[in-house]
Amino acid sequence: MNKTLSKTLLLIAFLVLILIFPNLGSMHWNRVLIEIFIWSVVSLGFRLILTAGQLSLAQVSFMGLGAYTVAILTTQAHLNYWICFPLAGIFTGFFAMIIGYISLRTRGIHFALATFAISEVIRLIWIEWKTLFGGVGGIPNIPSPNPLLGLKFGSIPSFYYFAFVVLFFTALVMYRLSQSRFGMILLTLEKSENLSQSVGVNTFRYKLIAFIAGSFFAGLGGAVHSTFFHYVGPEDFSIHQTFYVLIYVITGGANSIFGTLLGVSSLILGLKLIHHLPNFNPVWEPLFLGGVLLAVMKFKPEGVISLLQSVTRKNGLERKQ
Amino acid sequence: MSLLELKEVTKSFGGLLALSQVSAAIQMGEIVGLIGPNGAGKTTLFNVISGFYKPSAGKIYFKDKDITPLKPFDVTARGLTRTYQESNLFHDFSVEKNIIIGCHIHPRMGFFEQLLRLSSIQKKESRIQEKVEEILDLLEINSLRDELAKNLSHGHQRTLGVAIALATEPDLLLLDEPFSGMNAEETRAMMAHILRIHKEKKLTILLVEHDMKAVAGLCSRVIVLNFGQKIAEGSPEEVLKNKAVIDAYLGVDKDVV
Repeated sequence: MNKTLSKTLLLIAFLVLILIFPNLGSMHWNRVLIEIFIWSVVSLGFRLILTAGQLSLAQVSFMGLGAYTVAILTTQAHLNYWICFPLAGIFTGFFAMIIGYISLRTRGIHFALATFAISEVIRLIWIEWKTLFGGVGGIPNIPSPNPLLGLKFGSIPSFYYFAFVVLFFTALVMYRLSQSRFGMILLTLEKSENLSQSVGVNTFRYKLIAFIAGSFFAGLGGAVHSTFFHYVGPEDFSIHQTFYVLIYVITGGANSIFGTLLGVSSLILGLKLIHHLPNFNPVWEPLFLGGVLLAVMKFKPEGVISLLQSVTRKNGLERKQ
Repeated sequence: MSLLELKEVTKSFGGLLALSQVSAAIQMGEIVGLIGPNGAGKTTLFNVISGFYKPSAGKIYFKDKDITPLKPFDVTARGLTRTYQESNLFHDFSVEKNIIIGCHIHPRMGFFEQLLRLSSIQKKESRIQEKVEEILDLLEINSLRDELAKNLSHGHQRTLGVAIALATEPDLLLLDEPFSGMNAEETRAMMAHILRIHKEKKLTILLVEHDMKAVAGLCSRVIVLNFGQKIAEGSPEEVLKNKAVIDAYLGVDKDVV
């Protein structure tokens, strides 16, 4: 069978499965899938910044910015959720533009540390500015999304579709970018920045756009997160969540969109399964992820997706012969 | 009108004077060689002209405009592109994609234009494809188009470096040691390529080179640097007879006496 055709068929089958899942799975697994969708959006944004050669340790803090934007605008200004949702992304992107303009002059470990510092500053502001952000207790009672075009989003199945549409949109944008010359140039920035400049690429601007776009999706992910849990708090968006995202992306394979999605889904499923173990202790979570990370680094540093990639490559060769 | 004009360009790194008041002019349509012993400041001069270093003093004019303060990507956008001494390529990409990336400014594509695939994009993409074909044919690397840059032979890697630079549609091309590490056959092929792009693209070329035979065969004029200073300028024959140049390459003959 034709390779692209079989790929398309596989994709369609997968989409159908995702779409009928709410009718098959229990409420609990629906919620798990929604979480996977949310973290996939955030991780895809993180990966976009990573492809430009920059490690942003503020990704989950930026997700928190989106979440808090929605929380404040819906609970205090009583705005319609569908206005807050894009605003959360835009505000986060705008914030990233300012931060990126300053910190993207550094690279490698320096940029990672700069964003780490920013993420801590943001967390402390959430904790200390109690009147606006609610301190350690966060902001509770965030309403479900308002009805839109006759659709209600209070129940789990309908919210499931909303979260999936957000993920689908994100993945589509990422796919488009990866196929474009823009995406190609992003990939050159880490190893051949000088040569890119020599062909006329304003490399700083490319990094900034990648950082803004990646953070925009962090904000969107946060906007879904806050209305799903009806609550935001500083501990939901702490630095260790960013490291979780990093591990998801590396485990799946940072060089591919599908790999990232694979990493997020399999590891969140893994985490949820651990929760069901007897005598569950929260310490097992980082232990599990750390173990996975070590194994991936040892055996498949390119990520689990490289297993699949090498299999399809082998098949291609055999067919040629 | 000279295409490129250097006015007393000086560059020092701390206490080290890498370039000292170098003045020179390059006319439209010339092929000029820049020669000198190791450490004479040739590559520093390239880095200063292409915007990677800012000169400590002096000015650089390109098409009569001051380009001294510009960033490298702006210099390229004005029509001045450099290549690199080592095989500086987009190593993980195919030959074809290397050239596509080289097309970055001609034509430019906006972020949202590419994201939303606006109707203008198809025209631009077909223009890029045409350019890529033309360059692949011009430099005779069409058969290697799907090869990854890192898997090419040394000679082909250097050719690809020139191909990437050509994709930026320069008026002035700076070639940094285009023949280094090449065998005789590869050198001959590269010389033919340079002459062909000079003629067909009406390119002005400034090249740094050690291979004197190649320089004599290509360049109408040669500029000689030594310890950051211009010590001679003229046709290859003149320059090679020049006492200062011989001294610079072989040492002053007072030791012999």
